[in-house]
Amino acid sequence: MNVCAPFRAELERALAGSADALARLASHEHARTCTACRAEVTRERALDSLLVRLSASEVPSALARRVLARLASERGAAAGPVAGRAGADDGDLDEVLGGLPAPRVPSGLAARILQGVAPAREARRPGSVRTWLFYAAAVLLVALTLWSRAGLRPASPGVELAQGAELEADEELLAYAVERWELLDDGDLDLWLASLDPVDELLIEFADEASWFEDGSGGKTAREGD
Amino acid sequence: MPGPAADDPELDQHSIDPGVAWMLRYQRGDERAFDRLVERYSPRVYALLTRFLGPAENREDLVQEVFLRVIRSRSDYRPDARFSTWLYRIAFNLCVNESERRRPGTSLDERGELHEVWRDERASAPGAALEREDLVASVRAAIAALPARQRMALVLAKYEELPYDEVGGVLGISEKAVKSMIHRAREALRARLSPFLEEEVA
Repeated sequence: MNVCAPFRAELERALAGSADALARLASHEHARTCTACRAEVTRERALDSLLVRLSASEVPSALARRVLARLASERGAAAGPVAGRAGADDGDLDEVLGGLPAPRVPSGLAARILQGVAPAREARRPGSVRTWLFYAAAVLLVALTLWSRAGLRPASPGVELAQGAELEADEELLAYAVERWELLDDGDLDLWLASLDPVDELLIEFADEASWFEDGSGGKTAREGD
Repeated sequence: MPGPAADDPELDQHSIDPGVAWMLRYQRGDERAFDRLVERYSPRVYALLTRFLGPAENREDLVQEVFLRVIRSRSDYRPDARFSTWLYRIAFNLCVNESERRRPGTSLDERGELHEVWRDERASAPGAALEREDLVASVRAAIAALPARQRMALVLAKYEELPYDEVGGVLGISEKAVKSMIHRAREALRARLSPFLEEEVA
């Protein structure tokens, strides 16, 4: 850079700025009187005028939409808040469920599930109090988690389980669980996992613990795919 | 969708850089914020890749790859710089990998790839635009022949109009080093484009 020392800083500032800054420098008092510096500014401006020919980079239309579409599966696998951070939009349960893909439910799955849980329901008899309490506690834990997420009541599972009360709700919860398991057993497991919610994680863990399924379908399949 | 920092005081401090606010929202599980990031920044990334790599056919794939890395890196993201700085750093790493993948140890120009591009551009250009296309292809070839860091420093400063300190943030070097790098880049371009420069000066 063959320019006078005092002018060098001015030129460097102009080069770091916009093309206008370089144009303004051409009319700088020093540039008007110093041939070498004026020539340097002229050369830099000439180079800028060449470089600007590449400025019009045409971006394909609908680029963002295509990129988003192509990233859909990867996003699904990573959906949800990262560890250690709260969800930005907790929303209510309906909203969470509404975001799930439409399931393709295998025929007879609900019947198989109900058949699978029959022993647990039978265990409510007085002679199997411990087994009955285990399932009741687990069902109630999931129910309370669901309700607390839906904003229907505060989450206080410890108190509720200690009292062993409100077990009548398990029919409703069971229906919900069946619905979720139907989703889980859906052929498009990747899609389901993509929309996996912590509530469903609870269901998976609960069902695995409870060994509801004699044929090993459902939760175990989900774990392998997760 | 409301603004990136709507109803969230913690994000409000980043409202001056919506990219940061959206990234933080995405980090917390807001998928719509990621949509916004792609909508806003994918054209910029595409333009950056075009200027760095030339009109390669797989630019859209590379844009996708950049945002794929955003997805995979989101847990590591920290709002300690402008979002574009972080994003361009990802893009730069990808550009370097892509350049090396094409032919390790040689520039595009040495491999003749840009000459192919140049011929393609000439072939598709109307007669009156041939001269301009010739010039554009030459400028592109001259930029492509620069070392990767010089090239990216020039592209970010000249075309993306990033201040030198942000260019340094992308490349992981000091502002002073950026200034020196761009000076060398311009020197090299002036040498390579001297025939055209003489015409411009005249």
